[in-house]
Amino acid sequence: MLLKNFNVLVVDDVVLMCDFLYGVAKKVPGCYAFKALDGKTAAETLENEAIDLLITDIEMKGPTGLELIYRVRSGSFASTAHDIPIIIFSGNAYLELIQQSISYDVNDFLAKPITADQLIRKIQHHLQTEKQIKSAAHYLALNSDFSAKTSVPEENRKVSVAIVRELNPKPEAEAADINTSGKKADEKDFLFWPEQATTGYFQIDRRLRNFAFHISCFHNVFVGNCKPVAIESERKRACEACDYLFHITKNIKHKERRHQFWLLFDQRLEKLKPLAAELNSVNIKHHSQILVLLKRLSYWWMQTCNRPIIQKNDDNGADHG
Amino acid sequence: MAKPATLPVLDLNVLIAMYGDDSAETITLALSGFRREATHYVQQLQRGGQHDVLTDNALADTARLCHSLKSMCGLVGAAKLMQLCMTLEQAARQQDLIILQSELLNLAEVWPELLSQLNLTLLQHGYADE
Repeated sequence: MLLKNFNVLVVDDVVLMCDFLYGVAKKVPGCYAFKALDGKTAAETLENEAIDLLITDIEMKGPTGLELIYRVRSGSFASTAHDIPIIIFSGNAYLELIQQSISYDVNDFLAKPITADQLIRKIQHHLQTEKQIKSAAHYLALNSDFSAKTSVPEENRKVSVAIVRELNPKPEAEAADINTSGKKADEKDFLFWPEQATTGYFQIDRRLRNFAFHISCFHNVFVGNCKPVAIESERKRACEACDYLFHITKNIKHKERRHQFWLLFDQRLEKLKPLAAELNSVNIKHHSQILVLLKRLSYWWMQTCNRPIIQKNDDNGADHG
Repeated sequence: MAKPATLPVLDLNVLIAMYGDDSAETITLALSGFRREATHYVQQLQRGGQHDVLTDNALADTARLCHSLKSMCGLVGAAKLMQLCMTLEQAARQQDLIILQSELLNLAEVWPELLSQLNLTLLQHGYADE
């Protein structure tokens, strides 16, 4: 059994509050906590450590919480992914502040005070729940003037959600084809991430789950004979998910020591590279090519999502804080 | 909203609920940390209040200090001071100098009362001052 490890950064310029948040984050099984008393230290931590969840106050000297969030979402930090869950922990909930937070797709807005138990539940919830975050370029393009009101075009949000929601369930025959492990897969998923599974790296788990989700979306719009624009859009998202898997893996690998795992996982990624290149260049009008590619992707997935690369997650493990 | 006079100076039940722990170690750690940090904040607030003219920057600083102090009070159950900080923060943000000055005078009463309660509670929980 592996314990899923993740890094949580708490930022608050009040020492007592920062220590409280740090102490609570450390209590979450599998959690390594970092703390920062100002935006500058927080930025350094985000740059040097692969942070998986950020909890920040807003009103701070130096870079404020919102500036920090903007920098995370626009992909300014080398070691931290732009789409990590972000929780704002503030004593004030002004309308303008909330609007800005929404434009940066902040995952939660917690009003002080909050008990340790409530906070632990929130951390666990956001580490287990994926929120669709747009590309870093989107947030980079947002007006960085924090005094100006920013908003995301509503129609864009609707389009991105609608494509996912309108997926057709795949035919049962195909499900049987793919599901060779004998387990009953989620009927909507072409590829699926097994419950309670982990590579031992929270960020890699996220990327693999994301990869499976987007390949499944691409598969579903394709077999569902959706409009070419929808198929093309899902193909691009699946390509982005592949790229991000490669990118994140490269960052984590530099700092880790599990040689056996990395040897095997590297081999699997090498096998994925030509498939990702094909996905990137495939013409969606060539149905037979796409069907073959999807089959190869599902075969890759089956071989990868197996022991020893993934193992059962021991969520009830000891405190690793 | 309860009147400041009816609010408890220090409610340990709040602290225990917030930290999810009623051990003497947690209580003393939280209260001693609070006492140290809050003293610093109160001193800054009182120094700021002594100026005859409060500039926009000074008001913003007052609002920020009260905001931080308020959240600290919420964490350890210092309800009376928390209520006072809320009023002060609001007055500073609205640039209401009359309320600000009168509430800063109240701070000179509320803080010593809380401080003596803190000292007593720490002593009762076996905390020895450095």
